[in-house]
Amino acid sequence: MTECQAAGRRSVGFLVLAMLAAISLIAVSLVIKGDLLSGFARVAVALIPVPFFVVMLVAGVRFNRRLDERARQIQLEALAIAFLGTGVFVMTWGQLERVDVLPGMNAGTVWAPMSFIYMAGYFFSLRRYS
Amino acid sequence: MKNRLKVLRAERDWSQTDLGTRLSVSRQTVHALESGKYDPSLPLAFRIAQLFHLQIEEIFEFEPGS
Repeated sequence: MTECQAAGRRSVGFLVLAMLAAISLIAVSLVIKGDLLSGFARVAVALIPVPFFVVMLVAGVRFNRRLDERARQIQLEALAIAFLGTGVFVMTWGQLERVDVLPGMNAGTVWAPMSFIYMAGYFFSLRRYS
Repeated sequence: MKNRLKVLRAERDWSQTDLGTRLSVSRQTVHALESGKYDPSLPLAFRIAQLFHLQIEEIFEFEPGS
């Protein structure tokens, strides 16, 4: 198998994994929302998607290790911008929440802005090193 | 950082992909090195020097303030 074919297989594998994680998350959300379970069973079901995301985390780290030094530098800067940018976003939201301009933030609210800030950071860094 | 990478590559009739394969980096990294947009790490600079049988200083020119 060539390096290209191996990379293609890994990409497909990661995509399948991401879809399974998303499907499990949606399914679990529906079950929890339907109030079909209680107590320990409810907690156990809520945690079903977690292993999928742990595997995605490991896959992400392994992907990063396969990058060459320039690509790693770009990822480092993009992640730094995403992390710090999300911090600014959360802090700003918190301040506006204190003065009743915005409602309380739940954990899910953070992911969308973090993703957008990461993409902006990635393209900013890519432009810098290309 | 200015460098002679493009000239050295052309002398050997290598594409950017060829050079990238020999250095274990991507074609995009070779392009970024040649255009001065990215400076190599020390290990990569040594690998480049060894590949062309030259000293690092004969390939890369340090510019104060870069």
